[in-house]
Amino acid sequence: MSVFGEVPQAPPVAVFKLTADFREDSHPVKVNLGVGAYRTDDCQPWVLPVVKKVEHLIVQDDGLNHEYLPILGLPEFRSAASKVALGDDSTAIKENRVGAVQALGGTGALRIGADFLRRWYNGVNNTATPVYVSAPTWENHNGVFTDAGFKDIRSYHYWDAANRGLDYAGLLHDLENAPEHSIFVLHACAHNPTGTDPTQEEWKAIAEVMKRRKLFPFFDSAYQGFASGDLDRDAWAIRYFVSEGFELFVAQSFSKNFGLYNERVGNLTVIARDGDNLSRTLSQMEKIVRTTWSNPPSQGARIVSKTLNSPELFAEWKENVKTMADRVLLMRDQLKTKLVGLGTPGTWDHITQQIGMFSFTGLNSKQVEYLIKEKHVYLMASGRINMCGLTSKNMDYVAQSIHEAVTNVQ
Amino acid sequence: MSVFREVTLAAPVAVFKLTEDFNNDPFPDKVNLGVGAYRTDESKPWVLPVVKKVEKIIAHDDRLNHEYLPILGLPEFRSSASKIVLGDDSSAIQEDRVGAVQCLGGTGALKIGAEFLKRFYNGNNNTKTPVYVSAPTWENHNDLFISAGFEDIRPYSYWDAEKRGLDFSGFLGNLESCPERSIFVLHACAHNPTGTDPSQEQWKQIAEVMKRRKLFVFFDSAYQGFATGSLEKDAWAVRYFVSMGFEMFCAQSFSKNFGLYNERVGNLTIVARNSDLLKRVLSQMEKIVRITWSNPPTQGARLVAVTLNSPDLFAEWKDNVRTMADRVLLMRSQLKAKLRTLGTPGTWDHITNQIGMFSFTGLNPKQVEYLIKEKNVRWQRDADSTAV
Repeated sequence: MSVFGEVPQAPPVAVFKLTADFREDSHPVKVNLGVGAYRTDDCQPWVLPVVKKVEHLIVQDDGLNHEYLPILGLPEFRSAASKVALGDDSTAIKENRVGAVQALGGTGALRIGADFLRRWYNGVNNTATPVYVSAPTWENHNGVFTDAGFKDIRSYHYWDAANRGLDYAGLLHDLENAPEHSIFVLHACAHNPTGTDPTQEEWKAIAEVMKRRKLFPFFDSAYQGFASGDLDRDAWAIRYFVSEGFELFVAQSFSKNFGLYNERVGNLTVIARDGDNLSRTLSQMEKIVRTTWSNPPSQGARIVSKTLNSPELFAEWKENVKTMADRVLLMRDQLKTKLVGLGTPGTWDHITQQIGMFSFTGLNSKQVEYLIKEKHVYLMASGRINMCGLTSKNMDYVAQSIHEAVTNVQ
Repeated sequence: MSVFREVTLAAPVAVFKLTEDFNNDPFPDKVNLGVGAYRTDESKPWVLPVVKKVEKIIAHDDRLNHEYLPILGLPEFRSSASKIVLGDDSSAIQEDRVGAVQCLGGTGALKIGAEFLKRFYNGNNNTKTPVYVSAPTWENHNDLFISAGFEDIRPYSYWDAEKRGLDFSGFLGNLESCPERSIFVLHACAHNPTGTDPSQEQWKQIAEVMKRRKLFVFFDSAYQGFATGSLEKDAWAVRYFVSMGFEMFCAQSFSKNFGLYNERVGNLTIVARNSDLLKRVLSQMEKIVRITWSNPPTQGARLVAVTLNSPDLFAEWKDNVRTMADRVLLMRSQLKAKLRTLGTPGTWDHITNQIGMFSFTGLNPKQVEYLIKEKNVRWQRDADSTAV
């Protein structure tokens, strides 16, 4: 008799299952357009040259040791990371009302933020505050907020499948009708999974409604620099909201833009009305961190911190980021061109209009199944593809496969 | 009007505050006997030579990249970490009923274990199952289980202040009278903060009661190798329970025995009755990890895995561990000898009877305050005793 006798088998996380299936596939021409990690044109993972350089600097530095970091993390990492999101000239930073918690990737930042909001936002332990996530959104958002204790996770209109673009009217409608003080999880740029972002004008209107209706902005920023190639451009929405006087959270991930996926480098940037509110908030975040991971891991934060705080390394990093962003833009361009050239039914402008790592192709689940089973091209059931999985070598095959899927399968 | 206006200021974590005060103290002869990290005879942090060596190996290995680890962590780390605590010849491992989750230090391992137990142990989401922690225990145990949702955290008798030793009959008494299926957090060795462990005979009795009363065993193993200098000796209790057929968790930390405090290297070892059950348990642990940190950090786990899986590096590591354990034993021996020579009132045998990083001196709060204020010696305050 086991104490675990009643434990049911949990289904695997979809995106990891996809990669597992891909690995087991012995077909010679298989393509993985699933999991969200950058690949070179040789379809290899890429350790950024600046990262390799800084890793060597760190290992040679005998002044470093492995003593516990403070609970909130490496101070020079936290401040540099917040500065990257808010800008060098950020008045909020100068006004000492910006703080941060070094966290375990974007996930960890969302988690600490969610745990804090459940305990302290809109009353004490108010688990009834609605949390709105976009329809669709990153598959883990719902789980993180649910496990933090929120009982009412709702979706806000986002993807317009018919027009293959932003359902802007629907989004505004949901903002106008959400209960006051609701929490909204906003994608700072390069929306996952649709790749579709509001324009600057649309962001301004969103902000206006949110301010009027006292809604809480919780930005998820996983692709800064990676989307357009420009750090400032990709942070525009966040900075606009800050300039409009919002108190808000930004869950930052350095997994993609530093290629440091497995070192779990994240930062929860906190903007409060003033330094006193900020310090009380941070003190409570310490308590949450203490019972979750106690204090964060050093290696990734050291790499990022050293890079951001050195003018030369920072410039080199921006170059590396631009390399990745440019390759993605090139793949978008080529894929669209090929599909148009093949005369594939439908319009394919969305491939180049969308931004960041992902594209919502508009393929339906039957077409997706065809691609996986018949063509060994792996993508998410939603039709989401990772542009990084495309290379100059597999471009023709993928385009041809999509063409076949669209023409043969309805 | 701030949305954070109702947020109250939380008290700082005591042990970190102590070190902060120490750092701010200008007194030239100040001594920090507070935070639990190893120091050399020069009172400096120590990066283990084997760690420095392996860090260089890793930095120069161009085949390595930074792709996401699996949710449960680096496979070669998980298996070698479990092997370290259960033994090379572990039949439970051979029987395929041992699994593991790579976690963020000992804290992370306790957290994932606690979250799992809350969801699936003794019913579904049974937050009322009592969780017993020793009196006293590591200050974070209580809050950790509460944050996982448990509503009933209770102390079990442990430290006998009068005789400065284990309150064994009190401990057994709690085991006999607690509700069946209660969860017990046991310190595998080098009890924190008392440094006082049950003897092997006492562990056998503890196990007998726990088995009879269907109590759940949750070991906290943060000092394996660090306590006696011997990995096997320090894992004796854990291995004994496994040999007695328990299903159990063991939260392992490599912070101290690898000196890798800030890389957050931990492992939650799970022993189940069979591999099918284990598989189901691990699948649920994946769900919990996914919404907490998604997947764990690599650097520390790689360091430990490379070391444990190479015979030469493993031998070198054991040597480094013995260096640390031996220095602690020497300090214990010298402190007791000096106090004796000074004719300091009281008995001081407990300094050398106790084991591991900490010693419960038996000094009272007034004496502690004197030491901090007048002598600039900083250490923990506890209810009625102090940890060194």
